[in-house]
Amino acid sequence: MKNKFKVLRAERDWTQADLAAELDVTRQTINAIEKGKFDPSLPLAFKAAKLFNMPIEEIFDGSNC
Amino acid sequence: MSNTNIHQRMSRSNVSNAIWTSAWMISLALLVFAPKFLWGFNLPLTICALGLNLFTAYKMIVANKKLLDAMDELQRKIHLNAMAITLGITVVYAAIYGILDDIKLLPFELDNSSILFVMGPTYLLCVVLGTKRYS
Repeated sequence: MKNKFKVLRAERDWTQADLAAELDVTRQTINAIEKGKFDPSLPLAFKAAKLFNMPIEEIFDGSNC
Repeated sequence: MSNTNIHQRMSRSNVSNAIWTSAWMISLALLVFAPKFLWGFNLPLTICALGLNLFTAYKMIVANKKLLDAMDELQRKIHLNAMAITLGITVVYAAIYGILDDIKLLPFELDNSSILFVMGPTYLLCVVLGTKRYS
């Protein structure tokens, strides 16, 4: 699933490690999500939406699901 | 959710897992060798050693489960995939294990513990490949 993790992270000048710490996951997980290799669970997606203060559908593109 | 971060939780769970796995291995060695070499097959002592082994095995299993719970969702997925593949390979291995020497495919008799030498490397390899896949 495509997502805007990388863009949103860059806008805030955060490293992958910073975002990982905010979401309480490992940096590897953030990297895998950014590359579209791993789709986060619904709780993690909601956590990210809350962190970025955006609706979940603006972060994740579910058109090809 | 605790107040600690994932690295602290993982580190703590790893230490606990290592301690109880070591304890289980030591208690297994005690159960295997001590009855013969230390107390001459004294039944109460052997039963105590068996009890100790079962207790440490229980603690090791609980520690392993807690380690899985401490992981984040990607790590858990990698380990669950590895467990699934390891279980499948173990079932296949166990099914043919007994007949390999009967049908003269192996020139020697396999030991029961050989299953551990199938499970361990399989699990390790699957975790390494899974980690590589998502990196």
